[in-house]
Amino acid sequence: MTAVIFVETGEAFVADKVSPAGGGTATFFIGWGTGGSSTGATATNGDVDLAAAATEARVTATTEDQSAADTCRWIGILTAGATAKTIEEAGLFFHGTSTATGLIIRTSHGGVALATDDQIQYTFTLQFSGTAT
Amino acid sequence: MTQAKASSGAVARVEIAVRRKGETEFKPVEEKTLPEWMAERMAKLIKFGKGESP
Repeated sequence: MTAVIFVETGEAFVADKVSPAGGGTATFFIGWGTGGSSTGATATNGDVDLAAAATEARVTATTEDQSAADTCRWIGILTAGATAKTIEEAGLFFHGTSTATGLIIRTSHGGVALATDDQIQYTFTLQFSGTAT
Repeated sequence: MTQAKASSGAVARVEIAVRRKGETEFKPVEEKTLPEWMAERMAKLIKFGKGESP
């Protein structure tokens, strides 16, 4: 039986391509929303966008140095606007404004009630995880 | 063939921290991981069927 494996060097290569620490040039964005209080990727639009994006624009993510060769990490801080709201989801995107496209990772989470100028800091970590065989 | 390591796939983790207006530090409130999402999603799919939103 033929095995298909994604080896360590491949993991590091892909991580380098998306991280400035490894020479990647892509820009990433983090957005939040008020939908998707149950689980990730099951609510409406969950596979392609946030279920219900909030009015605040996505922010450009700060990309941290790779903590490991196969790991990328992005951080974004979003600030609540004039209207109080309960944030229940967030996403990491490779588009700053487009809808229904550009989503890389989406999470839903317990509702966080925010007043004006309250902030949430999201830290997205993507690791191409290997398992010794 | 020498196989040093086989990937089990990508693992995503999201850490969530909140800072209220006037506070100086972010306080962690939650951490989510991909396997957790997958387990929840599978449970929903089994219960409600693909394409339906519970």
